[in-house]
Amino acid sequence: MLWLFACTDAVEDTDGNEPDGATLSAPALAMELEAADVAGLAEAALSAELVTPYAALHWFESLLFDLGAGGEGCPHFTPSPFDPLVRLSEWQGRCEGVSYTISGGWLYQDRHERVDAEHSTHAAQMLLSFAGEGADGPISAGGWAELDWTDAPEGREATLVIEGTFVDASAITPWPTGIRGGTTWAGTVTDTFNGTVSGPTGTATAELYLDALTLIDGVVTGGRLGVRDPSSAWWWVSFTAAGDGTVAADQVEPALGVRVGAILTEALLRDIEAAL
Amino acid sequence: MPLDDVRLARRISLDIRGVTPTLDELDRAADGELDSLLSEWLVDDRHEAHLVDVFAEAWALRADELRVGPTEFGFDDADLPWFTRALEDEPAHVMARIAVSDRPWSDVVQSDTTLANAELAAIVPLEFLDPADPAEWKEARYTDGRPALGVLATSGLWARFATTRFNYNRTRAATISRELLCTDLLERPVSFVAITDPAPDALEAATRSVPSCLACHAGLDPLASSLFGFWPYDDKDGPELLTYHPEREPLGAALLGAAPAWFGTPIAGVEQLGALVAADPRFDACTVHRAARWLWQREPEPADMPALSEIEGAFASGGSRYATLVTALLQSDEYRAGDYVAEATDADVVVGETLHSMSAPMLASFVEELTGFRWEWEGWQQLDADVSGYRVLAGGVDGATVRRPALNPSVSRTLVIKRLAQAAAETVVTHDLAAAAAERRLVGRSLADAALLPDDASLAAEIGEVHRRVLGVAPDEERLGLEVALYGEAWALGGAGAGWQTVVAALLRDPEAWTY
Repeated sequence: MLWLFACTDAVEDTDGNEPDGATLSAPALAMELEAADVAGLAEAALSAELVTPYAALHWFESLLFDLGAGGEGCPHFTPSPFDPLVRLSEWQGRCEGVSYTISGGWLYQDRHERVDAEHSTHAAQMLLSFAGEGADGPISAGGWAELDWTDAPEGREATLVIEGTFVDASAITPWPTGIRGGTTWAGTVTDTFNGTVSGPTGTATAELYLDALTLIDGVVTGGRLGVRDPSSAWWWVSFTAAGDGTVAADQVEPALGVRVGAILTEALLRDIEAAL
Repeated sequence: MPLDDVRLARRISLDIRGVTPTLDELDRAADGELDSLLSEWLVDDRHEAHLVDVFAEAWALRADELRVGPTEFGFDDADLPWFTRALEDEPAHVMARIAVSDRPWSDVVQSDTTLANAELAAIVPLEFLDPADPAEWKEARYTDGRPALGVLATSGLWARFATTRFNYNRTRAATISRELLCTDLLERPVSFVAITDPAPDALEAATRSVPSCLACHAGLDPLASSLFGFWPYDDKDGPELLTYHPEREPLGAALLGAAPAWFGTPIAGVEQLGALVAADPRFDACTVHRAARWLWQREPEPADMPALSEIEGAFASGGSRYATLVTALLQSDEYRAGDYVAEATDADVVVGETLHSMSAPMLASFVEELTGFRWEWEGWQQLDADVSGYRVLAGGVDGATVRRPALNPSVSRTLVIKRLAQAAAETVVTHDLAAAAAERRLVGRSLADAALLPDDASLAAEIGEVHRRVLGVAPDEERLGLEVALYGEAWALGGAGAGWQTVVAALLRDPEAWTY
């Protein structure tokens, strides 16, 4: 169940009064989406694995493997002279990888340490700027990524930070236009994800903003999901968890300093009535 | 005292079109047709082209080097000249097109289209509205979801005034304040006395708490917060920098700790920004102020306020058409002043500007129109660039360190004009002596043979025509005699070619040629 609200009213102070002496006022935005549209886009975002890191992790790992296994013009790794556990890679030029052919450059560094026979820690930082073609379409990268994970008996604990624009039309990802914006996942990656995710992102049909979403066993239980209206205003979907672990209605929070009204979906109304 | 109509026609033609009047137009001005000529010149294609130069110089857009380069887009380093100009000129073309169209000036910050040439279309994500349009720069629309904000939505403006990752668009917000409100925050004193910790986090906190920082940041940061769709994670990645990112719009509030606002008025959606700028009283006042600075060739003074207020009122009540503003300024006494009356005081002389001087781009267009000479080397216009060129030496603006033109005579400016005059004279004389009469640009246009002997009966008349074409007025008898003698002396050394080159170069170098 979701509370949905949009910015529609004029600026008010905390007492609900118009500010004195205001000589300018922003023109009203003609919202194009309806609440039901926003609910649909939010649910699609949740089901498209935007809020969990698996697809992003898989994409980066595949990319690293593909480029690292490429020919002479591709990035290669050399051990750091200061730390035997660290590998470095500095590449610029044209690379014909296994599935990709790209031109551009990257700076890469990783550290891999084996904790015991079955567990290890791995940290990688990379700055990417390239464009090219994959098996089924163009690929481009502009930004940086930081992967930090620990394989422990209770599972893999991972932090993944992606900032920039990464487009891969040939990859099987939930995002036809690739990874956009900047997303930070921090939590435990096992069969499900437990942690938080924040940052701007998007799909082919929606521009989204993840505002400290909290996931427990892969289910969103807190935080906000922003959905951009074509008018350039933003809708905000707030999540909270009731004691039984289901998302329930909660107090509406003003967005962008503007007092707003609540817009309820039919499902939300039925849930409230059932709870009374 | 006002200029006479002939000299005024030359001044208006240069300020509106960047070129001098033809002999026919000078005759029409002498016959009292100045108002008709102005109406024709305001719809001349060269007016829009000249406005591109005017706006590019006023906004210091042509900085030669940008944070992005051609190699990031699959081009070569040798493509740098057209690459930078395609980007840097985009906002100037938007403003020039709105200025010459029957559109309100507020479209500068609210238009949902831009202007682009084929080169720009190869760099940024846009599509032409009419691909079959034969014009070099034609209307286009971005395809990456950016808002309708006129020049504030152009990749060119934000490539020129880029931001770094941790500047968080503050440079861009300051650009908006400086260029559209005539409020330059960098002119305010900046005090670091209250700053005790130079760590980045402490400095960011200071912008929100220390009064001397808040003086600027209270308005700057909320405006910067509204621009995060243009903010790149990697400020050295070309595609990142030139593409709009709608999903990043809420990042401003998160990173700056300031919700988007226009000087206290909250912005719920970034498309509101254009309307807020246009509705701000400073927007119209700044537009009038900058137009007056351009046409009067001086900074408006407090004593000008009554006249400018009246012009601003007419501008606003007339639908904010830029042509209305230009016409009002061209009809002002300040513009038409040609000399001082006997009663003028020293203060009047300081404030008034009765002699205008050509800017570096105007020198280029003035010379090219007369002679066909275009001073270019490896793709760079030598009077419009400094990485390879003489723009600043000629008194121009480079955008990085020189933000105002230096139009008073100087050694470097005189040397540049000398070389320009010599090269242009060689070009036009070589061409004209070999061309048929109907195809000559400047010399011998009414003669069967332009290669005249020093004692030729038609020589004096022809030199007089060339003099009038270059300087706008016919020479007096004494001056004409000197020019005829100069032709003869040069002719003795190298024939008609040397004779004409020397006379044309002397005319182009004459201060009366590049002042007006």
